[in-house]
Amino acid sequence: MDCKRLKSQIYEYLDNELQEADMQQFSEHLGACAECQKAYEAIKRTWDALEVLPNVEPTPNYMSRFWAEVATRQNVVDRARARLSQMFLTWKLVPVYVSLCLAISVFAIRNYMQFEQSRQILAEMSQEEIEMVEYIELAENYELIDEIEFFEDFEIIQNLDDLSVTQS
Amino acid sequence: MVEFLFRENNIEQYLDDPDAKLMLKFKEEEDPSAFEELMRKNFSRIMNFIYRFVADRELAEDLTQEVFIKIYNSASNYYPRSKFKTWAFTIARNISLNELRKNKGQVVSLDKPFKHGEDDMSLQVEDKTVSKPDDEIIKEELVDAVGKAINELPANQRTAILLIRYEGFSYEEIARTMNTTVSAVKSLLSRARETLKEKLADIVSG
Ligand SMILES: [Zn+2]
Repeated sequence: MDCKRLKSQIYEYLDNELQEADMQQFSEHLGACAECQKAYEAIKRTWDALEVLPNVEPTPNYMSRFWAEVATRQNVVDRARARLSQMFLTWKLVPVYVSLCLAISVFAIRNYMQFEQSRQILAEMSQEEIEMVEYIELAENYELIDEIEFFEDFEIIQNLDDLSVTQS
Repeated sequence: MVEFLFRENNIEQYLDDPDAKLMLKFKEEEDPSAFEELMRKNFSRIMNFIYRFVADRELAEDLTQEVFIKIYNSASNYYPRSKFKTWAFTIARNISLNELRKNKGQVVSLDKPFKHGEDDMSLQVEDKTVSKPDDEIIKEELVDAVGKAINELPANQRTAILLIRYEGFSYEEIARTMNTTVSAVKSLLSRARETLKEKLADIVSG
């Protein structure tokens, strides 16, 4: 092994990634060559210096903290799931109200605007129903349930529609 | 390459991994003590990796908890497709990266020494009544310099360096953890080492 080759293998040597034959040649050359020893020592010094970083320990109650967190999240998921299925039931009823309103509007005929409005609500409604199904699928995925915002959005939508329904 | 393919196809190769066995025990018997043993064996190690990645002790503990919650939630679908440690460190790396992205410029303040929480070394330094021997001061400077130098590495280089230096991972294991190739790992490591060598040259000399 020549000096150039040895110098190119210093890191692999330190990382314990040299094949056994290479490892042996490396050690032999290193033991006999002052120049390579110097290069090796310089690299090893920096590498050894990284050792100084302190280790940290988890707080003694980390295990109970963990189980408490698991329980809390399970609770959130359970509630969210219950909430969603509850909402879903409500939502299933909404189109019925809308159809009813629509029917009344058509029957009354007097107010074209009102008819138009009801038709619009119905169109939006079916789109949101599709979203609803998607939300339930998302809810199954534990990850996304942390992002609770969509529940708030939902409430707003729901309230809006309650208003529209009572309006028409 | 042939060996690589062969290993990929051998789906039972990781069943002997003791941590994988614990995961399966937890999955099949729903035995929380199996999961607790997994935590006892790995929590501190993963926490130290994250700590060196985000440079904040408390944050590191919270993120490590996230790692184990993820592992816990994956248990029902678990099958060992890799060593437990490479899998767990992949999760740890992803969670740390997300955290850094979320708090870009907030979490890692490069001028600050590593935050240790209550047992913060810098707090002790400010206590004027305690006089410190010179070599202790030199050591603190070294700790700060090393912490800062590692922190300033790009995230991928930092991951590779932490895994090889403090976790004793092989190139292959790092590649798996980072979902990349062994040659990419070698290149990340060599760039990281060049940078570390330059930055620590003054303080490590002699
Ligand atoms: Zn030589």
